[in-house]
Amino acid sequence: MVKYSGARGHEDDSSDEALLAGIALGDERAALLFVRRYQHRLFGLAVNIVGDVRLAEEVAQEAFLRIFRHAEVFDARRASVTTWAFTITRNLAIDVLRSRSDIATDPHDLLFGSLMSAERPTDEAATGADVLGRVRAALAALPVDQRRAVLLAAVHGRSASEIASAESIPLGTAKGRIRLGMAKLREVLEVEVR
Amino acid sequence: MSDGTSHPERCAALADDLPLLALGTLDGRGRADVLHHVDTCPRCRTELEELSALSEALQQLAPSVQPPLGFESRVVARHSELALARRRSSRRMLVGVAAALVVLGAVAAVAVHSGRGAGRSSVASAPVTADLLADGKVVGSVVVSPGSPPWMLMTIQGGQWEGTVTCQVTLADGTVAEVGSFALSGAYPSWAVQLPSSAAVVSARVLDASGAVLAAARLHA
Repeated sequence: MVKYSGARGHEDDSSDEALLAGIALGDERAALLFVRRYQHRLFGLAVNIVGDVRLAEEVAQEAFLRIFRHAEVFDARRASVTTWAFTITRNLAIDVLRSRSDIATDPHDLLFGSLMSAERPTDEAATGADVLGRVRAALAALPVDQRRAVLLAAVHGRSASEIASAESIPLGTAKGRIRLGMAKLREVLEVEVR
Repeated sequence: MSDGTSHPERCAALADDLPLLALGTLDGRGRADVLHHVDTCPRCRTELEELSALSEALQQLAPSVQPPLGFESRVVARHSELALARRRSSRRMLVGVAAALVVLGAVAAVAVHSGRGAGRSSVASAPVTADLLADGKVVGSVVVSPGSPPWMLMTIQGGQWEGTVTCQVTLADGTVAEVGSFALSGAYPSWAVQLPSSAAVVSARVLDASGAVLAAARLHA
């Protein structure tokens, strides 16, 4: 049974793994489809971390090139394609941030705000099957100082000492907020697993 | 060094650093300390694994943002340039890589519906996905892309058969071609191969060592 035909199907129906297989074999069309599928999310992550559109474009472009270069050694047993792509992008963005002390990034922007002010979780979101939905709901339930610390570290790639400095709090307090916040989020996921 | 025992005082001392390591924001010395401890403490190792999974989920919460105009064409153009340069500089090596391309491990070729792919592409070159059937039961999937070069990805649910199988395709002009032999291993044995021709693949079959057809997929009516 044909699920998706070339004559009438959507061009973007292939799995991520299938596109990576094509990219590894040099299929440029697969590369284009992969970029279309991920560009908004990876650029979103990059711009969140480096806080600059031009630099974020460089980061996201380099992330795609790195993904393509390593497509043939991608190992789906270790991580999903999405996790792999996000990790590559985040690491590159953090490297850029670390190497450019002149970048004045302000996490108090609209993007950060959208996560900080996550709407109250619905019961459905808090118990649903979607992992990201559950994490988002659990995040919204954290005390604001812990939520800020976790987001600054997780999404913006800030170290504990950078968070301490930005928030004008002792280093131990910054670490404690991250630990407590992460512990509560972990509990939510653990309950779901059981 | 690893005696498999936990040291509660070390666990407590490193409790703040464990989430930082999972979040990827711990510096060199701190990393080394935590990694050394985790090596000897199963409880902290489990905690680190869970925190790492959480960290991965958190970074995916970053809101999507529209990249600047022309981003996708710039990425693809740069990719083509680099790929061309690599092909020129190491053609022989690439041939070896393509021949050995049993790339993807545990993969279910589950179609993802993003459904936003309008644009300048020609629909005719879109990859086609079909179920791989054995006795009317779905046992895997086949993805065929008539792109440049044409390629195929086949995935079989683990535990169906053992040993080495051969993959065969029938092209639109009636030609039957063998595209390779593959060892079945893991939960979802999967392999990708370059196809011998860009002619449409009508069907694909998996054969055992005796040449008997184990499973088949129809890609075009």
